[in-house]
Amino acid sequence: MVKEPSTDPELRSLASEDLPQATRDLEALSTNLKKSLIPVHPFAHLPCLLELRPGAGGDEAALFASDLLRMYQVYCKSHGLQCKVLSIDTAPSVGAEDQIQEAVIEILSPGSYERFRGEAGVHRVQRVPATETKGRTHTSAVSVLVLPNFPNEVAQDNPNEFNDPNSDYYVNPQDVRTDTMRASGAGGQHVNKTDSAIRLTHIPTGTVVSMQESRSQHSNRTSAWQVLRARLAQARREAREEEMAAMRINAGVKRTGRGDKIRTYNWQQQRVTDHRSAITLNRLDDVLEGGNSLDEIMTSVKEWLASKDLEAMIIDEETASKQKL
Amino acid sequence: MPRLATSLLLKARNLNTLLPLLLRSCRDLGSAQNELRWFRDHAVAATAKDPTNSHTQATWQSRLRRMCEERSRGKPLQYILGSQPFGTLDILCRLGVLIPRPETESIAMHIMSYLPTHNGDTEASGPSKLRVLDLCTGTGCIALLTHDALSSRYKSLQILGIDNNRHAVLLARSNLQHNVRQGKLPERACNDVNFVQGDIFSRHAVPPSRSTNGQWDILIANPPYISPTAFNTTTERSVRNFEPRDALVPPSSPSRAGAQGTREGNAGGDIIYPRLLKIAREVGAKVVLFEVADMDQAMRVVGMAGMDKRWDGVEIWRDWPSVQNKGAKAEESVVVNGKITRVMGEGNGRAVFAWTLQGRNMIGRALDLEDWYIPQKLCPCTVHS
Repeated sequence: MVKEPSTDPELRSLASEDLPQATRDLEALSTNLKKSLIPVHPFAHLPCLLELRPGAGGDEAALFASDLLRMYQVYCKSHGLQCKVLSIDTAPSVGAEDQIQEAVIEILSPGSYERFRGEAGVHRVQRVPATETKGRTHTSAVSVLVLPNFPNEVAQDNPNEFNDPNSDYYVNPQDVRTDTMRASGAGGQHVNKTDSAIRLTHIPTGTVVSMQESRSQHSNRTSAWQVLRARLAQARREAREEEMAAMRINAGVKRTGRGDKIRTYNWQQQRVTDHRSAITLNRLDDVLEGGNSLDEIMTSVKEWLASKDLEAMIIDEETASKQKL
Repeated sequence: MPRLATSLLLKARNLNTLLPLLLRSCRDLGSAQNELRWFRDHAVAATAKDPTNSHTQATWQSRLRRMCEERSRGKPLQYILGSQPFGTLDILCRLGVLIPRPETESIAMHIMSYLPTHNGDTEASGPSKLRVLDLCTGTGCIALLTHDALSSRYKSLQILGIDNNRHAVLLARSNLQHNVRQGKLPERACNDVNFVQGDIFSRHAVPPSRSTNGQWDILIANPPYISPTAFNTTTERSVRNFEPRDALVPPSSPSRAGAQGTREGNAGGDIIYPRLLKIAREVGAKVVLFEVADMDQAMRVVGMAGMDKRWDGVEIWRDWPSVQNKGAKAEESVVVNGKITRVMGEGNGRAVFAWTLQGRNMIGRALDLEDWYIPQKLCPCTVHS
C-alpha cells in the first residue's frame, strides 16, 4: 500500500508511520509463536544436578574441572539460585586439593534444569598449565552432565510419578542393590568407625552411585538415590531422543549430542567460544567469574536450542505428512 | 593390630601431612580422607563462629591439627566433633556416654517403618495414641528418632527414655533441647519425650506414670550386650579405651546374673535380656525390639522369648533389615527350639523383634517408610515352646 502510487498521500504517511511498529510486532509475534510451538521440555520445571568429570588432559583437566565448578557456584550465588555440593572426589595425587575427579552439585531452585541444560557437553580448555615447563599450550576437556533432579517433595505432590512403572522417574527398588561399606567385623557396639558410605547399583543398567560425602549414612543414602534417579531418568529420555534423532538424520538434520565439544575456553586469547551458537566473547575472566558474559553465552545457547527444536519439529511434521501420503 | 605399611603412610603423607595421624586410628586411606574432610569443615566452621578469634587463618589450621592429634591417639571422631548424625537428627556426644551406631539407626528406622502410616486425624484406621519406652537410652538417640518418625502419625505420643547413668540422662535431655532448637524436632517433643534416671535391675525399674497407667505399647532397648570375654577380644581399641564399659558390658554380680552366671563365655552378655523381657511383661508391651551382639546371641534371645509364653511371633533382624538385595536368599530363617524364625536383611545378626497378638494388630500391615524400601508383610511364624 505504501508503494502503490494511487494511494492517498495522507493515508500513505499514516501507513508508513505504522510500518515500523507493525514490523516489530511481527517479530515479537513470530518469536512468541516459536516459543509456544516448541513443546516445553518435560523436565524444564525441575531443579537439576550438575556433574563435572575431567576427560582428556589428566591433572590439567582436573584443575579445569575445579575452575568450572567454581564458575557455576559463583553464577548460582549471583543469580540467587540455591546450590549445594553433593559430592566432590579429588584426585589421589600430590597436592590434589583443587583437582577434581568427579563433582556433583545440586541446584535446588525450580526451573534450573531448563536454565542449565544447554551447559551439558564437553567444555574444552586451551592454556599453558601451571605444571608445564616449556610453555606449551595444552588442550584438555571436561564433560558436564546436567541431570533433572527429583527432590523427594515431587513424590509427595504426585506420588504416581515415582510409583508408575511407565514414568521416567520410576525406579523399581527390587532392581537396586544396596551396599554399605560397614560389612566386615562384629559391628554394633564393638566398633565406632565412621564409615557412612553407601553404594547403590541399578542391576539392569549397571549404573553405580557411591556416596560418602556426609557423616550421616541416612543422608548419603538419600543423596545416592537422588543421583541414581536422575541418571536413570536422563538415560531413558536420551534413549528415546536417540531414536528420534536417528529418524531425523535420515531426513538430513544432525543433532548435537553430549559427546561433541560445545565450548572452548582459551586463556592466551582470553576468549570463550560456544561452538553451537557461534558466539565468541573476549571476556574469559568474567565468564569464569560467573558474570554477565556467562549469562550472555547461556542465552545464545538457549536460542540455538530453540531453533534446533523448531527444525526438528518441522522435519517430524514433514516426515509425518509424507507418511500420510 | 598389624603395623601400617610404609608405602601407605608415604602415600598418605604426600596427600596431606595430617593423614598419617588419622591413619593410626582409621587404618585405611579412604576413611582417613573422609575424616580429614569432616575435621576440616568443623575446624573452619568453629573458628568462624568464634568471635574472640581475630587471626583466623592460622587458628583453624591449628585447631585441625589438634583434632587430628587427638584422633591419632584413638579418641573417637564423634567425641572430638561432639556429635553424630542419627537419621535426620543431630545427636550430641560426650565422653562417658555411648556413641550412637549406624546399626542402631538402621533397626530403629526399620521398626518405625512397621508402624502404620495412618494420619492422626482418621480415628477409624487405628489408635492415634502410642507409648514408647526406651531402656538404656544413652544419648537418647532412639527415643528422639522415634519422635521424629512418629509425631506426624500419632496425635498423642509418649516416649520415655531411661538410663542408669546420670550423665547419659543429662545428655539425652540436652539432645532433646538441641534438636528442638535446631528445628529438627517439633516443639511438642518437649512435652512428649522425657528422660529419667533409673536402674533396670531395681524393683521399680520403670517409674509409675499416671498418664500411661504404667503401661507401654512398645519397648525398645539397646542394652549393654558384650560379654567380658568379647570385650577384651573383639571390641575396637578406641571403643575399649574411650567408651563407657557400663554401656557395653552388662553387670555380672552373681545376685544380678542369677542362674546364668558368666561361665558361659560369650553368653556372659546375655544376662540383661531376661530382665528386659520381664519388664516388657510388667508394662504390658505389645512389641519389643532388642539390639543384640550377633546371630548367636539373637538366637539365644529368641529362645528366651520362646520360653516366655507372652510372644506370638518373633523375627531376627540383621544390621540392615530393610535391605533385600536381589541374588540373596529370598527368605532366610533359622530354627530355634524347633520353631522357624524369619531373618531379615543383611549384615550381622543385630536385633530381636517380638510381638504379641495385640502387637500384630497394632502394626496391622507393615508399610514402607521410604519409597525405595520394599514393602514387607509380617510373617506370623510364631515361636512357642
